Amino acid sequence: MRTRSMMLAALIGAACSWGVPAQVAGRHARPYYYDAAEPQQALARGVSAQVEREVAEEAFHTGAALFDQEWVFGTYMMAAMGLGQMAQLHPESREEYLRVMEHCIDELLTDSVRRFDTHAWGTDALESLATPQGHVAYLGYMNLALGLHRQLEPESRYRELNDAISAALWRRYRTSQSKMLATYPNEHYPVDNLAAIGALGLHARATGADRQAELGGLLDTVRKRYLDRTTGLLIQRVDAHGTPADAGRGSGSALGAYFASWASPELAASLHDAVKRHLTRTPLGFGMVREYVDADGPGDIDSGPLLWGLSISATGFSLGSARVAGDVEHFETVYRTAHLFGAPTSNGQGVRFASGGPLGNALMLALMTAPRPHVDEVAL
Amino acid sequence: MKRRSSVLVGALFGCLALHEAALWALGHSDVPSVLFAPGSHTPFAYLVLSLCFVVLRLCLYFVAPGLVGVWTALRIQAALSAAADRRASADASSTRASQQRSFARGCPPDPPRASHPGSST
Repeated sequence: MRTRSMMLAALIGAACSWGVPAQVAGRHARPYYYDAAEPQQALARGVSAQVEREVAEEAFHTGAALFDQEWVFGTYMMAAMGLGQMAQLHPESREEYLRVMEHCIDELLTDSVRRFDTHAWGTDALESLATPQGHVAYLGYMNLALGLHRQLEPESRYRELNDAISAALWRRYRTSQSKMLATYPNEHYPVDNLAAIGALGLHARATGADRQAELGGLLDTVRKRYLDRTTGLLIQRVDAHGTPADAGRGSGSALGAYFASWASPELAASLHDAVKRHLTRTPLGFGMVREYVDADGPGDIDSGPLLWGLSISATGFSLGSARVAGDVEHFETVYRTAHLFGAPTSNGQGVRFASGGPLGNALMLALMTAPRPHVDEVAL
Repeated sequence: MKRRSSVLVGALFGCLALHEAALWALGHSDVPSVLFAPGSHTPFAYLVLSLCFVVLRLCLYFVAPGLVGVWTALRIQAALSAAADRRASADASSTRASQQRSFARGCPPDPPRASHPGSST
């Protein structure tokens, strides 16, 4: 009798451990997904407060000055995207979001934030627009923020710069055999090129220019040459001729889906589908994304540390890929994991993910407010 | 049992309080991106603190609901069992009283209550 009651109690305890955590951790997932104002605005306030103070290199400890500087750039860039998306989603606070977005863009234009790219190339990205150098690490991402600002403000004060960068990128793609511009000298990453292609799509949309044929050609090349044939994942790195130098990986594919969505929602959806099909695991209802399909390769600056092959970055990035693909189930399961390990907390200025740091929070805002393919009104 | 219950409740509330304090401290400090950066370059103190926090959070999310479930189930079973015991002893005393009355009058005793758990009738 006593054994039976202990077994019953253990069974109930196991059921609680199995079911309760996912319910508790995922309680804000759908409000975020369906653009409820309160949680999204709290997150935006947290990021605004962070970027309005200085984002310093000392906030990062990647072990390489180049990456620390790159992450300062990434923080301002993703914050600008997130705030621009918030201005679209919540027009009642548009002026405030635009103001902070412009602050981020102004920071992105400073020499100190551009330094990571200038050091790597030996030339300044904006002063060498007429050259064939790629500079896609800076120009591709920067132009995306400029394009979004222009979409919000057709008379954007950055429009001339947006036109100049877009013209330079088009010229470089036209003369590139591989259709893959260099991030740094002799380093070519398809995900960075997807940011540049997304920016060109956004520029065409914002200006009304007819670039469909050219854009379609670029996107076709990405589909044919830079997606893994078996899995459909985005190749992480290629050489100067466009030959794959790495596998299709989770972090690049999930982030690439977010960038691609600005030019091709179909490509974005196919990348998300590949991530979901080949890399996603959901133990106890917590969604996690592997970095590699069938190998436990080492973690690097793109994937973050890997635990049993699961990548922190790929998992977080897939919140954005889920939104652009309209996949609420994936968003919900992955949000539970982000909640569990990211530990969102309110600090009086807004909500921030305690373990995310400046870059993690800016990324979360941009990815959790990424444009969904259609607004399907569902009760929260 | 009662002492164990107090220890469990105390431990759970202690963990919860520690977690909330740590979360508050993290929310009000500028801790670097520990989770996103490769671990080897993360300052050791930050790494240890973050790992401790994650373990505490995992305990609260996964272990605590299980313990609360077990504790609640055992309490309910104990309460049910105590109620059954009380009813059984009440039945037994009523049966005894009935037998005594029957013996005094020379009538057969009342039959036992059919709803008694464990009764063979």
